[in-house]
Amino acid sequence: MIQARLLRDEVISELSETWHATGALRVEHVLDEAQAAAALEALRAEAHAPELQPTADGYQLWRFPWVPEPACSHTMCAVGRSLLGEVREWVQQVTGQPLAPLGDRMLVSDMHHKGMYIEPYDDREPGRVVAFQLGLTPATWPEAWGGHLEELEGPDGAVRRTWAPAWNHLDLFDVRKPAWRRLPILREHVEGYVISGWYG
Amino acid sequence: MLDDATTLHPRFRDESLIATLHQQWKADRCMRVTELLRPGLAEELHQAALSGPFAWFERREADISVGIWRRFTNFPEPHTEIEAVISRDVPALISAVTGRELSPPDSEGVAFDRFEKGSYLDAHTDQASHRVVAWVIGLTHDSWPAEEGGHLEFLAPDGKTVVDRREPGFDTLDFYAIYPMLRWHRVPLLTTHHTRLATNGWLTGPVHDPWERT
Repeated sequence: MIQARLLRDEVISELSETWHATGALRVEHVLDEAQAAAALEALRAEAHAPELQPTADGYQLWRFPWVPEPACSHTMCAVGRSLLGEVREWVQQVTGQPLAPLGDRMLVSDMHHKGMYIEPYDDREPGRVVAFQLGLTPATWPEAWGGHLEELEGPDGAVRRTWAPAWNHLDLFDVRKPAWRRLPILREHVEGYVISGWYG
Repeated sequence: MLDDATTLHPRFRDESLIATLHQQWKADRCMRVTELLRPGLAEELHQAALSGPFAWFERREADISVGIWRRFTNFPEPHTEIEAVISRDVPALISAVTGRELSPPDSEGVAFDRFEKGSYLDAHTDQASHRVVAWVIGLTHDSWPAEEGGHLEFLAPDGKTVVDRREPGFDTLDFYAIYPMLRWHRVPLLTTHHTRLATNGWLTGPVHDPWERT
């Protein structure tokens, strides 16, 4: 359930202009607030398992992957169907790209957790066109605490842009070309989640 | 008493050294000794500890918040002398230095803690039934600046202000009184790719006498 104001032609047009100029976009207050709040409560109840690879090119994350089921009434299946359905169709309008869910329809929730990080990575993979991240972070924190996603010029490159965790926002990234990003290590205990996936 | 401590460096059989260490202990009840073990043993323990798998260990409870890699093995693994080190000789050394008869808890094995990037041990006091001294045997070859985390920090009663700091050591023994004072300490988040390896434990003893009598 996308907020109604995002469906207006002038809003889509403005967002499309930014998308085509930069290949990246943050959309604030994307879901209906009640759905966003329900998703946060549902994620709090889901176990996010540590996935740890403490190497120079590795990561440390706490993750809950799931595939939204067509007829399931669980909140996360409903949110997932929305992301792969209505939200995807809306992103199609903004990007001007025909987009489909990837074959496995898998989504991943990453729980903000002290110690989480991702070393520089290129998010390109065959079949991926747009990466999306739905942020469900009740209260953001200073960049010095870490955990703010960085867009990089290259694997060892300068930071092009920083994306602070926030509430009910949708971040979109064009991953048809080199898309280097990094998640600096999070130094404090905070709360929040990011749901990620790709359209192809 | 330390003549039978075969895993320790032979210098600890020198009573004058023990007397010197005792004076050092009385000053702060928190100290480090280097060249802890008989020559070569620390490297053997380092290799033995890393010879098997570690698992991620995480807790977030009222008295402890930690995320580290831990390997627990039952004696005599991973080294035939590890039980003598932590259940006989280190307690004997700490007892000799503190002037107190201190005992290790009953244990069937040993836990090695490994900090990698992303590992942390938040501020805590180690307070628990009859624990009077905590100890850490350092088995870390690597070194790095304190700003990158991973160093043992002792804190003021506010639980935040750093009053002392110990960089990770190799063949070192850090030990400190944790009763009756509350000695807040932590190992801050390690933010770079280094490895801190150690094993630690506690000693129990009589708690009705103040340290000042020693």
